[in-house]
Amino acid sequence: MIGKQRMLSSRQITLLILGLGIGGSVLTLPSLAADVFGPSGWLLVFVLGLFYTGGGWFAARLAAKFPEETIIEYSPRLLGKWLGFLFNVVFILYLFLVIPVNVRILQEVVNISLLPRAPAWFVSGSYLLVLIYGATRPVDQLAQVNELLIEIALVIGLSVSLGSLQHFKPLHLMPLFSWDQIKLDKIETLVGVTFSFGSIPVVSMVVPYIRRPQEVTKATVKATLIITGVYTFLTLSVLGVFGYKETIDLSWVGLELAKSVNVQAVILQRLDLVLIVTWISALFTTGLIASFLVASGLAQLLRVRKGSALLWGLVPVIYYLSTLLKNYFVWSQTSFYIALLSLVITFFFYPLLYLLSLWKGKRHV
Amino acid sequence: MKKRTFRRPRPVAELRKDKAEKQRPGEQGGPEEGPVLASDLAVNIAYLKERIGASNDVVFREFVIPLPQPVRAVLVFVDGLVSGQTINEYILLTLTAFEGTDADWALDRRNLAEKVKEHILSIGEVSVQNQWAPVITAILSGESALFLEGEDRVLICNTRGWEHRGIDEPPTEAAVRGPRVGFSEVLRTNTAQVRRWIRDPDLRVKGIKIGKRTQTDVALVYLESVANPEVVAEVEKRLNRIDIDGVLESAYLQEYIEDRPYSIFPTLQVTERVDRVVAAVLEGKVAVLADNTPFALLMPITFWQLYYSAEDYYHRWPLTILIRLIRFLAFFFSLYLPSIFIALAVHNPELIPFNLAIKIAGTREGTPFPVFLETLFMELAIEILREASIRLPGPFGQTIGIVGGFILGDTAVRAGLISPIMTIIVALTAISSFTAPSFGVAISMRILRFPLMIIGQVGGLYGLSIATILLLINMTGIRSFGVPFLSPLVPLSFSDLKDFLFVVPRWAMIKRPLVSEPIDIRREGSKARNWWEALFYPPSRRRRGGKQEE
Repeated sequence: MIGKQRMLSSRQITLLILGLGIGGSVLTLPSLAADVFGPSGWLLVFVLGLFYTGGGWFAARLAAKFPEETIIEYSPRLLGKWLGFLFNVVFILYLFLVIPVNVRILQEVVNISLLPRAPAWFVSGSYLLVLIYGATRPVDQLAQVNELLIEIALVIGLSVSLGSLQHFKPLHLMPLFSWDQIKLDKIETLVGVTFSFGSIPVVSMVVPYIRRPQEVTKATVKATLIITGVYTFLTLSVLGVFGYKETIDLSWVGLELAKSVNVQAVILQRLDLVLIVTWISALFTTGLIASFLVASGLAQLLRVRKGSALLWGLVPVIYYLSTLLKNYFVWSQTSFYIALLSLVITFFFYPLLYLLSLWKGKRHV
Repeated sequence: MKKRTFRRPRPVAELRKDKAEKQRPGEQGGPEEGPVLASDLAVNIAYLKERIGASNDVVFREFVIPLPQPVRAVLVFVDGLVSGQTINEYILLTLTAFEGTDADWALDRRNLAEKVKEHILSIGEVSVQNQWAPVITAILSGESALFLEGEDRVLICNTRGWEHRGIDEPPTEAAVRGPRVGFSEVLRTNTAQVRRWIRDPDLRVKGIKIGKRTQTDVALVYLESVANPEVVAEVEKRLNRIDIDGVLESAYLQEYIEDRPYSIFPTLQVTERVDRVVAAVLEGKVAVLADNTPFALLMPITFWQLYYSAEDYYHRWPLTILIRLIRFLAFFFSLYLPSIFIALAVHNPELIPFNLAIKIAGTREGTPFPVFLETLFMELAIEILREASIRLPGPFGQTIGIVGGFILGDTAVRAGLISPIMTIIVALTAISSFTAPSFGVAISMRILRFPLMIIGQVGGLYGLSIATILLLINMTGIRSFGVPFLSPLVPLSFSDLKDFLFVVPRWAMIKRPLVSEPIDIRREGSKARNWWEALFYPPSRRRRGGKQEE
């Protein structure tokens, strides 16, 4: 009992995938989905979620074939030394870029709602320091923090969504599948929507810590299905409450949804601020897990013992990147490239690596 | 001018060698030397007088045992630590009035100590020793040493019997329902109390002596067939590692054996209730009891258990749920109420419902201090009052608490120095902090409240969120003898949630808490086929022949 190595349960793996996946997207995803698919935006989210569940299945099967190693360790064996190295760089770069986006979203949301006059360095800096401190903790501690925070965020987020249903109008979802309102030419926005589902890489990095590696596939599929369900329900609620035209125009649509909730006799006047306070924890889990994965990935890639020192070294870079662009909306355009990396990893590299592992005769656990 | 001279310092190695030679008893014998009792009574008594005889409470009673060949004997004991009746009736009277002039066994003087023990002494607990160290420790612990002429061994008789406090209701853990029995300052009485409750042959009471000078008796109490042997071994290892000169209270041990010495949260539970220790031992925990203190240490524990009271288990489950909900709400208030008030008032007044906000603003009109300073002053005043009321004797303490609080608060409001809402906030916070059954965790909350108030002032609700996350990161890193501090919430253990914020009826708690990984996980004989039968069917209604629910 004292000092176990494989300490994560399959439930904690599910929650780690949820923790990385559910974050800032809640505030913007319905707008992006409505922009591409009109009133059927929720269907787009649902179908994309199912696709990602398939991608997650490949990732999990691959991870289960190498229960003692992370993807950073076995990818060079499957892809060859240089291509493997290149893949590892892309993999870590993707996770790394999630962190400044995460920090920027937090700073924007805090500045527009909770602390309008607070300087950016104070908000981003304090958040980043706690984030990196958390990410340098042992993996079991990180999983416990995530377990608690993501559950609280999910319960409160879903309660707000449910509360907003009092204004839900089914007519807002009509017409279903109207080709006039579906704009497939907005490819950048469409790819941007996929950014919300890019949490599958967790499984490739934490499999050596799982108590029963044979359960990793079930845990991953369960997590991606939950993410799909949460995002679909949220998009459905937003579209049903605001209608797709208004949804496209709203910048932080998740907050607007919370504002629409009227509960009599509440102690606090505005529910959107309550949502933000709890949603900080969901944002935090995304940044926390991404930072942890970057630290452990870099440590394995560069063959150093302490990834935490590398992560502390990257703090100025993360901070600089988070403040690089003018505002979050410019950032959201940049997230197209991050989402593209996620797409390539999930739908190209994972199946490729899985097929290569089959070809090389690697067995499942 | 006087010439300055320097004396060459002696090398350290030389000093150490001298010290070692001085300490070595050589032929005289001494505690560090092993079996060194001489067979000459005069030599033994001379040595003992040199070591402990300078104190006038050490009694050397010389007498003769009337055997066929009379034997000179000396009984050594410490006055005040022994029972006079036991000494007089069961040792001195028995030995001096022995009619054994024709005893055949006494003709041969070999193994005389053993023979006296077998044939004459009528006292219950007697052992034979031939080393000085245990003999001296035994005398100083209230036992009596019987030295015999021509014998290089000594008889140690248990004659302990000093004045001590009786078994009272523990003042720090009073309960409406439950036994009114607490521990006292006598270790043996305490272990006997646990033994009286648990009549299981597997109950182990392991003794350790800690403290080079105090030689304090410490006992590890656990159920061998239930407690996790890894935890028991770890506790024993940590206790054996302690190397100090004295243990005055179990708090000394606590600081040496707890997992996170720098954490503000206690990772061991402190209690003086016998029933609490018994319940913990039955759950597979280890209890550490020390002599001279009524406070026992329990391990491993979780954070939530610090908020459980012994009484929770004596009420029916609906009441226990209500009590625990109130207690956890009070925990939240005691930690966050002042800081949330500051954050809302300073940064986000729009969050407060309009009518309430107007009311608060009205009461605050004219107060000279900003909200933060007002809260800080009042919190400090409460802490000072609390400290003063503890230091003063009983009735005075209560008076200063009530009168001081009332006068101070009322006068400050009348003078317009503080707002009435502030007195409500501070009073509610103070009252909430009293609901914590564990003094240790209540102090942790009091310490944390002040930095949280500063964070509320600087960072508002955002700052409080980040501080809470930081606190959680810290708490998830704490383990109490391998058990995660926040379990069963994280990592989630469904089985242990039966005794958490919500509790189930006692008959539904089929398993012991699994966080400490006991060997024997079941505490109920009846079996259930599945989890809903275990949870919703009392044993009398469960189907017979069911398999073990896992």
